[in-house]
Amino acid sequence: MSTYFLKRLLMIVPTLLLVTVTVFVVMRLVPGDPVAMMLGDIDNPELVRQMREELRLDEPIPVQYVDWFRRVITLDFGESIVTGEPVFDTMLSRLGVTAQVVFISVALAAILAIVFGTLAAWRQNRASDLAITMLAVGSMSVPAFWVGIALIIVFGIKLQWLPTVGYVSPLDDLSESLQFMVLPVTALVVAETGALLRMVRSTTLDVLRMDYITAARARGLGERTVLFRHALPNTLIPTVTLVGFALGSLLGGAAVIETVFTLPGLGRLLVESVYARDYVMVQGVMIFVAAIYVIVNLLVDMLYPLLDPRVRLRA
Amino acid sequence: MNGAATILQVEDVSVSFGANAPRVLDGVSLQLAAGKVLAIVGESGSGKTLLARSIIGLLPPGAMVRSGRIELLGQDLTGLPGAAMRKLRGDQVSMIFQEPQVSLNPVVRIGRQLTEAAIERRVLTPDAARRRALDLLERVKIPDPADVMKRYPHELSGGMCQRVMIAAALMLEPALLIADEPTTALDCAVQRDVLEVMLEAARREDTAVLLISHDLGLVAGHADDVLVLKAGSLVEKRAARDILASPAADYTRELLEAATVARPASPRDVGSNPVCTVDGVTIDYPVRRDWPWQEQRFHRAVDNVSLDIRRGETVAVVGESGSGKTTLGMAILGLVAPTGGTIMVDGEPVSTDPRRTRRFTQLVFQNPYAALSPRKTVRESVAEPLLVDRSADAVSVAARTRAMLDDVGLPAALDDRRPHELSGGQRQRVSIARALITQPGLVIADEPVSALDVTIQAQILGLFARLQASHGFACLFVTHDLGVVEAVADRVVVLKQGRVVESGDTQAVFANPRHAYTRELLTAMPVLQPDTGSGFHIVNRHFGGVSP
Repeated sequence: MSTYFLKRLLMIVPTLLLVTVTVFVVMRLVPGDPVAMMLGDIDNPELVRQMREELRLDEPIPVQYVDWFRRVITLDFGESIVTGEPVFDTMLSRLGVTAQVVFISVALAAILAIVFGTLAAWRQNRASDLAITMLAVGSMSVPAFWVGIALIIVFGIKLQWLPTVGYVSPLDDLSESLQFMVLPVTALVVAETGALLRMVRSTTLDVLRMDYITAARARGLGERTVLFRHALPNTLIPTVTLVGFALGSLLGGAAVIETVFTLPGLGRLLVESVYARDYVMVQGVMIFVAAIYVIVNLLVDMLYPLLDPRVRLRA
Repeated sequence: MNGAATILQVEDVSVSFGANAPRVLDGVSLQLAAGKVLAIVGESGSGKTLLARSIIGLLPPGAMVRSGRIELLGQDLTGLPGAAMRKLRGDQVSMIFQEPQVSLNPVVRIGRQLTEAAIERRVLTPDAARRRALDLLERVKIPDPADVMKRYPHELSGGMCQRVMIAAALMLEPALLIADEPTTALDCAVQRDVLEVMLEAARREDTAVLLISHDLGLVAGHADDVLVLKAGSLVEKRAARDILASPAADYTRELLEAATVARPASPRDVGSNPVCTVDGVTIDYPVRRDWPWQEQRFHRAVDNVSLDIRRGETVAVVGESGSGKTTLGMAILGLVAPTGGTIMVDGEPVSTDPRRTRRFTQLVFQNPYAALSPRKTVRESVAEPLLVDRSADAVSVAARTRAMLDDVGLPAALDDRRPHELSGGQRQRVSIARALITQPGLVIADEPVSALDVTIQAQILGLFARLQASHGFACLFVTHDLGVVEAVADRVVVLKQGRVVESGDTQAVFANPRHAYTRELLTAMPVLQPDTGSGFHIVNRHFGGVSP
C-alpha cells in the first residue's frame, strides 16, 4: 500500500517539471517584448537595456529557465512588476480567498449531488426522479456568472438582504465574512451540482443493477441499508474523481465568479495580471494553479485505497 | 411428500413483463417439503429464474405475478406489501446466485456481509451473529473462517465466494433456500464439492432447497424431485430417479440426450502429416513491476508444451481457468509470441508477421455475441474474411458466403439480420461460418459451446463434426468441459498450471487416467449414460490405484 502512495507522489514530479517548461516557453513565445510593453511610450534605449539586464532577459532562454527554475523550487517566484510585492505571498493570500469559497461550494455541491442523485436513482422514472433530473439539467445549462448576476440583482439590490460585492476575511469578522460568502457560494453550488448529480444518479443506477444489491435484498436487508451501506460506497468511487476535478479546476479557475462578486481570489489575480502585462505574476500564477490541480488529484488518488479495497491489492 | 411439513406451495403462477405482455411463466405449480430438494431444470428463457425470483419477491423491474398463489409456510406471498416481504427474506427464504464474485459487495468485508442482516433485524446480537457466521463458514468447509471474515471478496476464489454466499443465505435458518445455478460459474473440479456442501448444510438445518439449473445431468443425482420447464410452461415433474429411468416428455428426453456423452459415429479420416506442431513451447507474461529498476519477473502461462495436430483431427486441450489453454491457442494463431520452443503450422514456423498463418488458421470464440460486430449483418460478417483479398469479385463472394451459410444451417431469411436479432445458437453458427469461409486447414475453437444451452450445445457439436468431415480441417478444441471432450476429441491434452500432465487418445485417457489431476477432474464430473432400455442413469467414475 505504501508503494502505491509513494508511486503517486513520485509521479507528480515529471508532471510539474513539464508544467514549468511549458509555462516558461509559452511566456517567451508571446509576441512583444515585455520590457517594451512595460515602458509603454517611453523611448529610451538605455533604459530598455538596463531593464532587460535587470530581468535577465538578455540571457539565452535555457539559461534563463535554469536560473528561474532554481528560484521557483525554493518558492521564490520573483516580484510583481506592477506592485513590487513577492509573487508567492500575493498568490498565497489570494488562494486563501478562493479556497474559502470553493471548498464550501464543492462540499455543498457534492453532498447535494450524492443525496439527491442517490434518491433519484432509487426512484428511477418516478415523479421525484424527474423533478430532480430536470433541476440538474437546469443547473448544468445555466452559466455560473448569470446565476451570480441574478443573485446580486434579487438578493443584493431588490431585497437588499445580503452584501453583493467585496470580501471580508473570516479572521477579521466571521459573521460579516459569511454574509459576503453566501451569494458567491450559492452561485457556484448551483452551477456545479448538476453535473455531479447526473453522474451520481447514473452510477447509482448501474450499481443498483449489480447482483450484490439483489443479494443484499435477498438477505432481508432494509432499503436504507441497501442504498447507503451497499450502493453508496460503490457509487462514491467514481464520484470522488469528479469532485476532485471540480475542486482542482475551480481553485485556479473561478475567475468569472470572482470577477462578478469582486472577490480578491486567485483567478481574478491571473486576469488582472494579464491586463497589467505583469508577466512575472502571470508566470507564477500559471505554475501555482497547475500545481494545485496536480496536488488535488494526488489527494484524490490517495483516497482511492480507502474507498476501494481492490486498489490496495493492485498497487 | 412423505408426511414432512409443506414449506412451499406454488399454484398456477404466471408472470409477465407488463399487464398485456405474453406470459413468460405460464401456470406453473409445485410443492416442496422441509428438508427436500426440488430441482427446476430448463434452458435460458424457460422462466426458471423468474419463478425463483417471484417466490422471494425480487422480480426484475417490470415483471409481475399475473395470477396464482405462492404460499410459504402457509402464508400467501402474492400481493404481500414490500415491507412484509422484506421481513421474510433471509429469515424464511433466502437465495444464492450464479456469479458468486459479483453477488458479494466488493467494498464490504465478508464478515459484515454475513452478519449485518441478523444484526440489523435484531435477531442476533453482534457477538452471537459472529459466532453463528464462524460456525457456518466452518460447515461450508472454509479453512480459517476467522481470517476469511476480515477479507474482501476479491481476495477469495470463486468457489470460496460461493461457500460464503451459502453461509450468508443460511444465517437466519431460513425454511427455504433458493439456489439459482449455484455452481455454473465455478471451475469444474470444485462444482461438485460446492453443491454437496450446500446440500449438506441445508439438510442439517432441515431447510428445503429449490435448486435451479440448466444441467439435468448434474442436478438429477442430488435432487429428490425434478421439474422440467420449457418456454415458461411445466413439461414434466417427477421424482428424480423416475425422470432418469423413464423420461415421459420428449423434451426431457432431448435434455437428457444432450447431456449424454456421445461418441462421433464414424472414425474420422485422419491424415498422418501434422498440420500443426508445437514443440517445447513456453510462454511467459511479464508480471507488473512496482518500480522500473526492479528485476522483471515473469508468469509462466505455458510451460514446455509439445503437441501435434494432424489433418482432419480434433485435439482437445482441457484445463481450468488459468491453466494456459487459451494462451496456447493464441500462440498457434500467432497472436502471442512464445518465449521458447517452436510452433510450425502448415510446414512453416508461426512468425511475428503471421499473415499467412492467419489465413491457414482461424478462430471460433466462446461468446459469439461479443465476437460478432453488432453493426454488421450476418452476410457482412461472414463475407468479411473474403474481402481481405481485394481481387475477389462481388458475385463469387456472395455465392461463397451463401454456400457457407447453407453449410452451417442458416437459411437465407437470416442474411440481413444483425447479431442481436439471432439466438445464441444461430450466432455461434455465424461465427463458425466466418471462421470456415476461407477454407482454413486448422481451426482453434476456444470454448465454442460453453456459453450455450445444453440442447444447443449438442446441435453445435454435431454441426462441428459434420463440417469437419466435409471440409477436412484440423481442430484444436479448447475447453474445460470433459463431457464435450469425450464427444468431439480424437486426442486429449490435459493442462494444469501451464504444464501437460497427461495426453493421449481420448478413450484411453478417460478409461484409464494416469495422472491424479485427470482423475480428480473425471471424478468431479458425474456422467449421464443411456440405459439399454429407454432410460438413463448416472455414472460416478472411480479410479483405483495411485498415479506413478
